Amino acid sequence: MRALLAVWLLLVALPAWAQGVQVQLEPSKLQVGQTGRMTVYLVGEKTRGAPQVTAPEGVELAFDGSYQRMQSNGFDRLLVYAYRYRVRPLREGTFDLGGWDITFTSGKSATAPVSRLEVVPHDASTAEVEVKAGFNVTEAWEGQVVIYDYELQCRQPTMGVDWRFPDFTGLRPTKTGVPVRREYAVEDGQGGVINVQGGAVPFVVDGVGDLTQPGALVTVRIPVGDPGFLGLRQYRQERAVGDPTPLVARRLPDAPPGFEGLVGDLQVRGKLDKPRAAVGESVNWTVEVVGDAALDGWEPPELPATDGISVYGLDGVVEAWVRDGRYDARGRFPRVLVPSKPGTIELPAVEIIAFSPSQGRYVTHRVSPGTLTVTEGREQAVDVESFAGETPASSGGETIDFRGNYRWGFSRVVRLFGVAPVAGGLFALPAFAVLGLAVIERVKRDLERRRAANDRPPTVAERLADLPEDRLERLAALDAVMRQALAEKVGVPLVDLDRDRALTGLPADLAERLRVTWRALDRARFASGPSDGLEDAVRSRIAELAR
Amino acid sequence: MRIALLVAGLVLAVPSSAGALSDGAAAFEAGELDRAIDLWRPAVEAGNPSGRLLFDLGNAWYRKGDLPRAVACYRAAQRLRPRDGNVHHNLALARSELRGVPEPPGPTPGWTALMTAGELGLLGVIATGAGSAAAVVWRRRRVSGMAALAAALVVGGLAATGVAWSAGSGPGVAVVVDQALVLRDAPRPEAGARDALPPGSEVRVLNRSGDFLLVEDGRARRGWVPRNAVFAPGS
Repeated sequence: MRALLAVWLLLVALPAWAQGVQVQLEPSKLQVGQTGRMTVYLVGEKTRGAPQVTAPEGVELAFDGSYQRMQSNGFDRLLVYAYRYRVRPLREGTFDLGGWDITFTSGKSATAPVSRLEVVPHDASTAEVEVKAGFNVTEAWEGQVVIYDYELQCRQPTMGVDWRFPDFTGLRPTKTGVPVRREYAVEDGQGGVINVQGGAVPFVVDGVGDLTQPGALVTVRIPVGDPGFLGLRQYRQERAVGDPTPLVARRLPDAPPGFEGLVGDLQVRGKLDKPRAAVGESVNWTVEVVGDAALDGWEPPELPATDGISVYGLDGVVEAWVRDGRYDARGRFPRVLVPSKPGTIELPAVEIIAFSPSQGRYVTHRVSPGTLTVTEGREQAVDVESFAGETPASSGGETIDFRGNYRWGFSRVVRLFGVAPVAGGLFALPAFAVLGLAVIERVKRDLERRRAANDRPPTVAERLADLPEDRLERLAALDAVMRQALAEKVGVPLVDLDRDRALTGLPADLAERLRVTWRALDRARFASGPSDGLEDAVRSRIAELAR
Repeated sequence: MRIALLVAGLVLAVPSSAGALSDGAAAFEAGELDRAIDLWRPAVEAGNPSGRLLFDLGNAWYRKGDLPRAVACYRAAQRLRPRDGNVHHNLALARSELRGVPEPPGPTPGWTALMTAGELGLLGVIATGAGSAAAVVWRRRRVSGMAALAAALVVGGLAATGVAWSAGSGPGVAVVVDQALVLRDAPRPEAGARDALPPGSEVRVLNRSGDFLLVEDGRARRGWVPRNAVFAPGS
């Protein structure tokens, strides 16, 4: 069992999606502040530029690059355009990403499916290695498909991850539905990265009772310290064990007649490709079964015998995927009906009995081809070719061909990037010269301005702020400052100032106060008069002159 | 005019070696894949192969069923012909047929999908020249806003030439060929094994020591590998 699982896990591939748009969210559960990844796959079609996606309120989406690859859907190879986005939730809640209308270059349009993002509060857990594993349900019915999901979270880049899974006693892998492997990194919002590796494997419940499985064991090598000599790191080995995964399987109730082991919630459709046909003309009737049941090896019941119709069965096609933790299977079972006589033929219904796990009971699905009107036509024996080996119809995807050679052109080229910095430097020389001249001119201007500033006489305020300490020198300076203030007031150069004449041009009261102050100054300077309060008086007069 | 003369000079300096391409193409179309490879491979190994030559050689390896070598040639061609849909197409085709290989290293800067490092360098030189012209005009006529335009063009142009040089001469991508490759702790054959990469894995070359290369795959797993175990045409 484990060997089989190991082989399956090597089959790493994109899910085999049908043509159109798919959205993959990694992971589907994030903590607030963490950053995950969303990839929009355009399968078999493309758009002009990246598809226009919008984020719901509370989530930030940022485009993070694209790539393309091809995949096979069983019939054709389809070109897949993958557009990656960083997803960062800003608050708790449940958000639906998808539902965008996307228009392809072919003119067709499609709506992107919706993926649900669950955002939980930030958890400060700092466990370096963590293993999580479990089934998507804890109780199941015998024959039901369950998904075993396993995940390793590590806060360091890992090397040599080695999983040891339990024996899965009482379970068997489905034959269709390739196990999904996923590998991505989540930014934890604090500058760290959580590397996540894991996957999902579908199993059919094959036993009853307690099918609890032991925890998965993983061995991983984790880097220690910084890269040393030669750019490599030392590694230490870590082992981690997940919790046991509970699962209880219940036996199915007594089955009604016609039950052929189909367990799952299903939708059944039947489609007749045309309602009218000529005698001898083949009409295709396809029964399509969609749901979460294991359809491997199952065939719908034969159409009951009907007079005037021969029925031929073709091989059915069963596909299955594991998506968002669910098992989605689809089976198409074609039948060829060949009428042998004209008239209106009421075709009988086919009954498909399945056990529905969600309802806990058997459900009968009836699907009827309906009525077929048969006209006279190709009157011939019913001689139907074998359809069994016929290639199924193309799914309509872009057919991928190998693109051929170039027949002409140079086989060698000159690498321009090597000379670009030198050429760029040469071409920049005129600009640098202009810049240099501009800088020189600016410096010259600044110097001249500074020199001019140094040459001018100090202002009244500057002189008042820089009075000498010595009494007589201070009184002389106050006299000079008051003279300068008077000269500025009457608008004559200081050297041309005639004090008495200037005072006559001022209001009489101000002129009188100035004269009094000057006399007091002269007495203090030349006749040892008192100087108390003189400086304040001078400052007051200067202030009056400045008004 | 000076730019045109520079480009013309560079083009004329290229040896006229179209013969290898067309001779190989004729052999390829005649179904002589080995002969086509024999004609193309020396031209690639001579250095500075063109994107077309690498693409054609990739096609020959693809037809021979050697997908890892085809992927290596297409990757190298993609670097030189980023707007060539045929290269992207055949690379995707070859990758789709490889099983179990990790995602390729990446992502690469967005501009590399639009132009080569050489084209970006040329654009940078042109912008720098335009910036210089704008600076001279501003010097003579003092046109409003011209100084800012000149500064932006010169700074942007020089930055572009630097980015182009860094991207063009930066580490290339090699592909594991022939057999699974063991990543080792040190550049010695007896050094401890770290992990294994299947043929077709694309790895970024980070360093070189003797006959060994330090490589990193798309999952940031690093290790030393023998130089002859990976294929990186034209590097």
